[in-house]
Amino acid sequence: MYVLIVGGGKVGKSLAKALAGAGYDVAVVEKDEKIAGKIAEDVDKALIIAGDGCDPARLEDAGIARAQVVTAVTGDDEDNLIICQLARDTFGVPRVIARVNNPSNVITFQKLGIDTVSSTTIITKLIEEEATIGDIFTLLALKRGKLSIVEAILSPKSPAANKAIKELKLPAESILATIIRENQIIFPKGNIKLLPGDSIIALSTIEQESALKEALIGKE
Amino acid sequence: MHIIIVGCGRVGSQLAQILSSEGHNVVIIDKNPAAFKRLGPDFNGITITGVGFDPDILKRAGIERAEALAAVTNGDNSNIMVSEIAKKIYNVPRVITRIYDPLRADIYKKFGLNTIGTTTIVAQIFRSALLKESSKLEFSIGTDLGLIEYKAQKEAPQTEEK
Repeated sequence: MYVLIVGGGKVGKSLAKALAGAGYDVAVVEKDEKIAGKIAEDVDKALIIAGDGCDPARLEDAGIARAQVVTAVTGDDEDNLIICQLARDTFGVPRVIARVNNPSNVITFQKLGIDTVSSTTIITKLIEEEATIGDIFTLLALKRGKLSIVEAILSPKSPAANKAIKELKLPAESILATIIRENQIIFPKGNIKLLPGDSIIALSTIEQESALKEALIGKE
Repeated sequence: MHIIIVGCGRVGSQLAQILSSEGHNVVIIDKNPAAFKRLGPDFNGITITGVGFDPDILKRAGIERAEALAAVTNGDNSNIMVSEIAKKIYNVPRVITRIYDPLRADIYKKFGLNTIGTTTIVAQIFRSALLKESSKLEFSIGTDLGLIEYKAQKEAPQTEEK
């Protein structure tokens, strides 16, 4: 698979490294020549183009015509939008993803039909969760933070403690994936009784995370 | 008419002054507050400091009731982004976008923006002025506006009057 990354800052470079390491064909377009040179030194096996990624000619140099994925990760949201639109509408790239630096621009991108990743929003959410004691923890955010795999540890006071799974009223958009009890992995079945100290791994949408938390470990 | 101008450079400030003196309600946005000095003391519109494609700033500028918007910052991509927000999200009836890069001006014209590719226009004016030849200048502005200038040569044949 050929992945074209526009923007060679911290995000672009580490993405290029990771994808090239995973065996993808990777090209990076970076407008600052010095930075482009540095990436060329640090990332083997990637094609590095020094030039403005908003310029269709540079995108062609970088082989956009055969790219399956284009991701725009520069520090400027307006550039990321234009790069993604050029990729999708002019070059017909099947999958385009934009980094959004300022969270207030996320809605604009969504309304214009461009998929986004907003690291600010994701980090804010993660820190918020980590900072709340007795909460459920997000182990992994999926689908750009819309879906997450969470962990909750039951205390004796938790509403789910000493109840069978089938007795629980779990939100519709969530599912218990596994229970970890004294290093044993238990796959949840309706008759299994949850015990204090159980660590429960569940999959949930962001919207229903608080309802899931309430069902498992109760309100604050 | 409620008109929003994004970018208070030479073009934006002059446009704002003209429209305001003609009695339009003008709101002008620029990220640099010092840029509003260009407007002079007679400007009686509203100035807002901020990034033009920030939805909050556009709302403050009254984009929901704007009848026209001109995007004339010095950044092509900023202008495109503001214009797309105005046109596609807020349905502003008339949106005009200044784009320096001729290629991007063409591409976004195809995508339905009313783009004015100033580089091409100025280059053509210069060309005909330098060559002093009879000229036909032709610009299309967006999808529904055009400008054609014919300049007669001195030795141009007289057209017969009928």
